[in-house]
Amino acid sequence: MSINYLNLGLLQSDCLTLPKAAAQSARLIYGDAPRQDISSFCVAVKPASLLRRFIKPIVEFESNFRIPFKPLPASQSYALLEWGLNWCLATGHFNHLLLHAAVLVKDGQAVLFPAMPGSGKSTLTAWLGLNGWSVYSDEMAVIDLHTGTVQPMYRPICLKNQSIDLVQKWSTDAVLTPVCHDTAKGSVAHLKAHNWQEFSTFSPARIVGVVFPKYDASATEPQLYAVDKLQTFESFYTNAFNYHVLGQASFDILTKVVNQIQGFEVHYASLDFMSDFLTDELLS
Amino acid sequence: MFAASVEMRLLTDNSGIVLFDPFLNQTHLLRFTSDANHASRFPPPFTSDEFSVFFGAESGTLDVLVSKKLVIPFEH
Repeated sequence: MSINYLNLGLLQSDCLTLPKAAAQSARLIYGDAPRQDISSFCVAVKPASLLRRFIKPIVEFESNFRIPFKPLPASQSYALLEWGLNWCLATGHFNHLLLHAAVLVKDGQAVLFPAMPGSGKSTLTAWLGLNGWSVYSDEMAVIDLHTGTVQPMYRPICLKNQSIDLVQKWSTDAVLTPVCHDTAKGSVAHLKAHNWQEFSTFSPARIVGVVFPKYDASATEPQLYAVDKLQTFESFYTNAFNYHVLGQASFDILTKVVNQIQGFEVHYASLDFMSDFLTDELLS
Repeated sequence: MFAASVEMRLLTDNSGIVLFDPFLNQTHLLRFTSDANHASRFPPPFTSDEFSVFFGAESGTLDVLVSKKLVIPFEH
């Protein structure tokens, strides 16, 4: 059975064509979300050519007649779809300020996790999501330009390599797409963070803190560093997808947000420590 | 260096100021002190005390900013 729309919560994409395996994964992740009235863009993942449909199949991502990426092996179709959706949002959504950061919420208070690849951000996001936190996003903080609150997105968590096994160990009920091997990020699987029923209860959350996490398995003790507001501003600024497009609106809201939150850099080996730290230091 | 309508905001922990030039659509960051925990890409031009001599608590004229060469442009 095909899926012809992807309700991302904040907005919706029409889904024109997907390979069978990618459609199955898309249904697993988005299939319980109702259709919105209007779609903001349309996407497709389809064979790159007639020949490559049959010989060493490769597929390409297309959105609104644009093909932004080089083709990938057909076995990576679903990962390509998710990365393509990130691209659609980052390059085409200008109603909110978009930062490259995970967003976790508890008791209506949001903590942002901007981080470089390999820092353990997605693993931490998955763990917190399985332990009482609401995952508003694994990839993109969506900040309201007027209130400075962060909006939820109905997107999965992109797990890489060992974190896939870890999540399966943490929760036998975890809903995961089949693993795509040999991608640019290694082996990749997507974890459904919440079902639609849970997600529909989420509301915009006030940002109370930013944490720059760095997983360090060799660390015997966690290390904490306070991050001052200029560094926080710089980090948000460099991690923003559409700051330059929004101009002064993004400057104004970023200044407001930075002035009302606390910032920390945390080098950690224990996920339990991170949970305690976030609750004790950042949540009021 | 800047359009006359440049916006300036003081960061509440006194770590620096941020400026926005709407004419050029550019953001500039200025650090007051160099006591950050991380290696910073910004040189430490002035302390906050020195800054307050020029601006008082919050803000001042851009002429002073420019003439004193306080601003370290940071291009996105």
